[in-house]
Amino acid sequence: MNDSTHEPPTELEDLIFRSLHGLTDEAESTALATQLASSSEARELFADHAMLHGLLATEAQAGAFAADREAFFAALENPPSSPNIIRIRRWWWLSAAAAMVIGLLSLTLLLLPNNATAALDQVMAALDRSVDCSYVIRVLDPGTDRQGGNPVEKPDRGRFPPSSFLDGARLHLRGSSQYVLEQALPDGNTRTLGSDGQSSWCIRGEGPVRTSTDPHHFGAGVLAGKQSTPFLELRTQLEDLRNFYQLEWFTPPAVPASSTPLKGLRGSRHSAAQGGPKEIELWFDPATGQIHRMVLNGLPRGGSGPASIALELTSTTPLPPDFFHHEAHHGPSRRIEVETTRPR
Amino acid sequence: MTAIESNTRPQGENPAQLEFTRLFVASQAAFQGFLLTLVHDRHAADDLVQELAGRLWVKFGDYERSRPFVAWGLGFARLLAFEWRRHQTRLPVPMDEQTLQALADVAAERSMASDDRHEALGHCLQHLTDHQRQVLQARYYKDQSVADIARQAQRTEMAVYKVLKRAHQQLLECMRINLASPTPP
Repeated sequence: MNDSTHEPPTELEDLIFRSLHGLTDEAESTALATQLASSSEARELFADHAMLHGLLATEAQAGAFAADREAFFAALENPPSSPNIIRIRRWWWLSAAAAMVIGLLSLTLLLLPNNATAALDQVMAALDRSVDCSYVIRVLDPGTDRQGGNPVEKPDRGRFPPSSFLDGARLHLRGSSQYVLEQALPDGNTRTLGSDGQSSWCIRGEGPVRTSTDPHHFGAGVLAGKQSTPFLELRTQLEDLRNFYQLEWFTPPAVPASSTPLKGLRGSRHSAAQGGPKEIELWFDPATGQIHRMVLNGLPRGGSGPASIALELTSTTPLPPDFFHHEAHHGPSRRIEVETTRPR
Repeated sequence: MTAIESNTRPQGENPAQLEFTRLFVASQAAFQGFLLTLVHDRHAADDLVQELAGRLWVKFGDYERSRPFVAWGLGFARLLAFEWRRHQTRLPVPMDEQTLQALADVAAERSMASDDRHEALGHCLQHLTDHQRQVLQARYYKDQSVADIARQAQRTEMAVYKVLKRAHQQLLECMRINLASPTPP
């Protein structure tokens, strides 16, 4: 088995995993074959995953094989042929059925959704509704750079301003797939980027409008060195919170803007291997599921970007229908450039 | 044969059948993983495990008890997998003979330590979240596709895929730690 530990998932690992679950297309299969042919590490990693896949499949069928030895051997003693194989498979699965029923019943009883996961489902359902919500972003901890310095004092680093410039940024959401982020930049300009769910766009100061047919294209460029921006992918964050975090209830302090007392859910990440913020805190209205405040602590930084941020609800006033299209944010004569690669 | 085996053996079964069953069941995970590494298709691997059982039973009279059963069976499994690949018009992951042999060598090495892995897996499964176990059950126990699980759980396919992938990564990491330490933590 591979000796490496605590390594982040690699593209190869993703390819292997997808292949074993029958999710790769022809080009990906060819790419995997090329890596397997050229690298012993790739073969070892592939074998590790395939063995685990096999162990899990066997574990799922545990006990079935020896359930009816007479029938099994009666089938085996005929020359192997397709009909026999099918008959054995049928027998195998039939004999496993009783164990499955018991296992699944136990599992169902064990896994009945608790209040916390049901509440998160409600919050996700609220997020999926096409209701407009506006939030202000607060940087609670800008983090320190690799040398231990405070990035607040650093000058603008190209397309990625210091994390402190995220403080005060405005995030507008419509449902879970449309957003507009307005952020002040160190040079005095504003960067506005957004997505209408089908495509994404970015406008920096008086520069051209850059657009992409990938709805996540510009969202991936908000934080230096990151493939995604957690606060632009709230749906994914909530799904991760539901699936991968240890949840606990807490009571948030009273919020004057909210007519009903808010409920609080705090999730702690089970393991660093899972990725994502170490802790997610959610303040929401139990009647509507609307998020009033969301804190992301211990964001993955890789030496840059904020360590901790909060989103605070500022308005639920409906925005103009075209607000999430770039045309609503610039004049008609602005130059438009179509991007085909991720911004660096 | 021990007294317990003698007393608990159902009437009409012969000792060879019992021995074969015991050996094959103990090695099944190793064969499954080995075949999956070479054919890259779970259902094909399931079928081949069945076919392998048939071939090994026919040849069981030749089996030398001094040799590990897994090692003996893997030789047949390798031939079976190569045979299966030759008969396919389209392979999930196409590769040349040399790569396939190299992959088979790695897989055989892993399979020989299958008992330890199986034990480590049992321990590591306990460290998954309920939701991860639920998705693994649906995928492996109920044999549901990622798309089916997503539809039933009213989640996106990507979300289900991520749950599965992270569960695998956690299990592999946990198993590495377990296999590297002299006693399970």
